[in-house]
Amino acid sequence: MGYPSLESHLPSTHAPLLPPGTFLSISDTQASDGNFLLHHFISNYIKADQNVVLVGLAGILVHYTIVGRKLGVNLATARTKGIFQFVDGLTQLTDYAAPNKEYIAKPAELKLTSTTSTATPPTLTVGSTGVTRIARPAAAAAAPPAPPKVLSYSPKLVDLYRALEEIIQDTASKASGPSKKQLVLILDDLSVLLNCGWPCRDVLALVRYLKLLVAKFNGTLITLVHADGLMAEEVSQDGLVKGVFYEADYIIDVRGLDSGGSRDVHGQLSLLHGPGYLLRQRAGQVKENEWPALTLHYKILDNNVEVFAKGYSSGVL
Amino acid sequence: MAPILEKIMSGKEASPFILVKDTLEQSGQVLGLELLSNSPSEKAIVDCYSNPLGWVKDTTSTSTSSNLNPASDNITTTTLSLRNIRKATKVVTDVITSQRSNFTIYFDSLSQFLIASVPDTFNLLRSITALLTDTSRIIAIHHEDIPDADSFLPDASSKPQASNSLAHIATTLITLKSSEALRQDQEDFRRGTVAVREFSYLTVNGNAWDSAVCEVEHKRKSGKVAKETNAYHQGSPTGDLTVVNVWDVVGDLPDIEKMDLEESQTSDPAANLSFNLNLTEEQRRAKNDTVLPYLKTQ
Repeated sequence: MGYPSLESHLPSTHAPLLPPGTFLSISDTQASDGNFLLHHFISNYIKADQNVVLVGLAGILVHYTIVGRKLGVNLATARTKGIFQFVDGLTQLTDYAAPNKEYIAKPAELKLTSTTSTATPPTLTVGSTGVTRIARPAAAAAAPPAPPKVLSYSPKLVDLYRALEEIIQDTASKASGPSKKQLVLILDDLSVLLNCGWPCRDVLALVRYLKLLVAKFNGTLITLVHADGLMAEEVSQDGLVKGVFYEADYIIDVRGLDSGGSRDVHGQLSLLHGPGYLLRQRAGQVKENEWPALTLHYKILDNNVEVFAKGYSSGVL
Repeated sequence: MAPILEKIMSGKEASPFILVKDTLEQSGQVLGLELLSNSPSEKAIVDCYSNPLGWVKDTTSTSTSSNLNPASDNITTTTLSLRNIRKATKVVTDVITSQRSNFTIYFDSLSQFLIASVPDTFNLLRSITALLTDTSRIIAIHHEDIPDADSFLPDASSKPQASNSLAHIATTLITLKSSEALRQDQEDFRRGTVAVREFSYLTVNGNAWDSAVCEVEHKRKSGKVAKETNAYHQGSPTGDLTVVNVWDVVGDLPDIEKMDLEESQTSDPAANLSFNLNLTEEQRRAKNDTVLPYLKTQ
């Protein structure tokens, strides 16, 4: 489990996973980074042996690996098992990487130098002392996981969608069978696409297309977007946050305390009801109190995050 | 007298174009679906949601995010891309003309069209309005906090706001507000303090399922405009909507005159003191008769 104190506040129908076919939007600010919530879900899905596709638009794999280790999850092992896929959306996404394209080898062009997995029989050798030794061949080196897929620059966001669509369909087809695995697609974070120059309308369309695609395979979509008050004056940024909130079924808003910084409380996270949740309630698709709207406080520790009711910090009591 | 919202919902007040303006804080989709539920049962779905930019070539038609009963017999579905709203206009008008003359067209929401092109959206509405009969109507949800296509332009301030223009052409304008937010404003007003609220896109009070406040502006054919603030209430998340008085949901407004009177009738501050600040009748007479120095020279 990721953060035990957060678990009781999340929908319990499919705990510790999110209900399939839903979309969780996480928003944060400069003062309070909401990235820690993504690690909670990555950890939960991997420990439950479900499929995770993580698109790192703002971070590299090493970052998630280090944090995952603190939560007791080995992302390298998960990648080897094929239940965790990392998509690099940071290093080559913009045309700044385009001039250096010839110097960066794409994963498809890399030749794997690891040995094959076919076993070779042991050979008999007779030593000078007459002792027969069975020389066993060196154990075939464990095949390393395939390098992460890299999203290359394209002026059209539809190409990014098509790349992700291929990955999702491939993952879902492998997951089908007697032990049908759930899938979660995590985008970290959406504001990067806006900052890289794609129009707000296209980014919102991408979110919708991915939401519908993932829902088709009974998966869940989780996104992170920045929702600072200062950036609300910019039309694109404001439109992106509102558009994503309108699409979301569940919303978690992470921001700093109104009163300023504190040693024992690092910020507040609010579980919110968006228009999508209201419609699902109307259609009878959610249980009563499945997702109560409330504000909690949190404190980030070295290998855990404590979530507690407002005013109940251990530093206060 | 029945609230105006109830009359509009039951069809007693005719309105060819009902515009429901909502925000993230209080969604108007529940009210919109309730208004739609009184329309004829034959439905046609134009799906502009699944493939808005035409990225997917082979889409299977899906129903919109409303809770229409998929088991209903007479539902035809057409999937449209919003890359070309003029083409979409042609498709929509063809669907309308193929239906019966008394139709109801429901937009959920107009913001998807407005973010593509404002003039084309208004042309779409004009084309549909031209096909309206006495018994047919348009119901549209408009998220007024979503920017439209013109907002992204550098000269956005010089262009008319789509939201205002829509309010002009609508015959009924219903603006949704969160009842809990209004209730808190009332409390602040009673206490005489206004809590400073930090910026957030959505609060924990947003989208409460049990009630919402509706500010209704209804233009009748006679030219008279009825303006009322009503509310709706639901007994359960899936229950029926009941139109109620706004004070039943938000609470009574504090009576300002009554508050002033109560304040003035508070206990005398000069009572229970160790010294006497009052004047006797004789002292008051002597004070009034005192001639102040230098008065005659003024």
